[in-house]
Amino acid sequence: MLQFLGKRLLASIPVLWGVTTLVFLAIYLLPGDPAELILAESGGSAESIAYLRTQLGLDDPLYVQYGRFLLNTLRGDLGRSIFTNRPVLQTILEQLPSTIELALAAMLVAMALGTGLGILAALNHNSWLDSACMAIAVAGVSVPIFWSGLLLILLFSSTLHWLPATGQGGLRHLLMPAVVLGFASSGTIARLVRSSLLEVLYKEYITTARAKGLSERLILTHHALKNALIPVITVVGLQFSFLLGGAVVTETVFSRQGIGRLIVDAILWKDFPLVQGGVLLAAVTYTLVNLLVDISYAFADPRIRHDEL
Amino acid sequence: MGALLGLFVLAIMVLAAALAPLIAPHDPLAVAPEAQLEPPSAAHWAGTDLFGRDIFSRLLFGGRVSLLVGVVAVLIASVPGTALGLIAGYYRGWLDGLIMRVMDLMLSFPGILLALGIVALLGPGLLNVMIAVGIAGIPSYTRLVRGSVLAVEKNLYVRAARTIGCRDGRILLRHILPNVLAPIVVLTTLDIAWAILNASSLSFLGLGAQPPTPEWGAMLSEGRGFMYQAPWITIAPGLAIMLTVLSVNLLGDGLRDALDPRLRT
Repeated sequence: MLQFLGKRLLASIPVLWGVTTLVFLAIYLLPGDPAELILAESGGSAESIAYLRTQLGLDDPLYVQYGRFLLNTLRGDLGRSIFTNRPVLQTILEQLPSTIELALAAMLVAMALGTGLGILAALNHNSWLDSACMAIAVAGVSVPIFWSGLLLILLFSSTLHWLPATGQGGLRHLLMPAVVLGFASSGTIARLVRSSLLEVLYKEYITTARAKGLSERLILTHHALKNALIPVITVVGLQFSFLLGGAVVTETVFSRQGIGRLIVDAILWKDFPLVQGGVLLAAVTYTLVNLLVDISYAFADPRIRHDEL
Repeated sequence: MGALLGLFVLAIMVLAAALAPLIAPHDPLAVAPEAQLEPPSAAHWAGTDLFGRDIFSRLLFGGRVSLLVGVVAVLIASVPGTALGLIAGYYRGWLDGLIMRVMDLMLSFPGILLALGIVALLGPGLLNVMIAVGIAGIPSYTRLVRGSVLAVEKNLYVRAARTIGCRDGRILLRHILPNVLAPIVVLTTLDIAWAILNASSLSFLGLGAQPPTPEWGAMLSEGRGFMYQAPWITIAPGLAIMLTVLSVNLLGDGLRDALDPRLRT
């Protein structure tokens, strides 16, 4: 197990390095001078462009800039925002808890709803209930988050006055964004749980359990679900990626703080260091979550660690 | 059953978008200050927006934009994605390693964040959103095609073609591609739904279609400020997006079940 852990940890280093390099290179892939690009719309003067060039270190050769970028990133220095002149890392870290809170709450909703729908559909295979559950799953994948969010606000905030429409703080503010984002992600989970459970239910050990005279409930909880839910762990990792992306829209709809909204605002303001930092941090978070998913997968299914070694 | 329903709804959507100039009751850009924020009525089936523009007409024209964005973005994703997958799977070696590592990197950016990053570089706008959503979609094709090529390439007919001296290009396009096409078709269909959803999200965020272009995500965003007085401005375009995406998804699911049972989840 330790060896597996070490291998996985080592394998994520080149990914993190690659992501950092890509984020660094992105700005140079464009034709033209980054400093001019940043100041293009505000019609920056030659002096202000020259000042920005020195400030961003654009006058040095590319490899010097790259080395500096890597070193600074390792030290946690992602530069300063062009507009607020505050350190990028600090700005992002202030917003990160809110996004993590939203993503985790949405994940909880997605898991509960997804596995619930999936189990219900599989146990009633080929019945109307199966079709109904799968219809809800397709709807979940198809509804734009910004629309379902606004509909919920219309219903629960503006009409019924049950929940606050926007803002931060507490479970009441978290409920609607988490449900909207979680529902969008639950469809994929529901489909996977259904097909995985259907496959397991025809396995011989289930027949054996039935032959032993175990109750259907016990067969489901102790024999079928334990095995059927293993592949779901992987998709949960992938869904976390979806949730981080979806948070961008959700945060805008519900006017929540978070790195999603921060990045969108940074794009609109052409605040490149902030965009770079935000995208980089999101990618790093996602890579680390995938690492955790891989590790928990190995815990849940001993076959994996043996295959890998 | 679901697939047929999807096809039917989608056909209506495509037809309505194609015939928009003929069937739209009003000019989608015509401003009418006296008809501001009117609720749905006989004259304005889906009401009017802040500028008195007819929402139903804007929906019809918006369909052209959204469907076009979906198709173009998927073309930008599928053509290079498939080509890279063919090359990686057929030639293997360092080229395969390089291509797949780059794809892995692209996949390390969560969700629409890669598209967001690309829009950040290219600047907001509908064309750039198509490019961004398209590029972000490339890795899924490369992975899928590479995997299929690895499976198909072992077949006798590929070896036979090589033996009689076919060139690599011919083997790839005439012998391998047709045999890996089914999963590509399925992915392309489902990808259109994904692209429409993401492109409208970016427009909603103000990064895509700019006013006064009638685009569903942008229309919804414009209506947000008057959600309480005039909810129809936000409800109608959202419904249009959902119906389109839903019908494409249903169609894609049906195609998958029919063409490629392996992809079934």
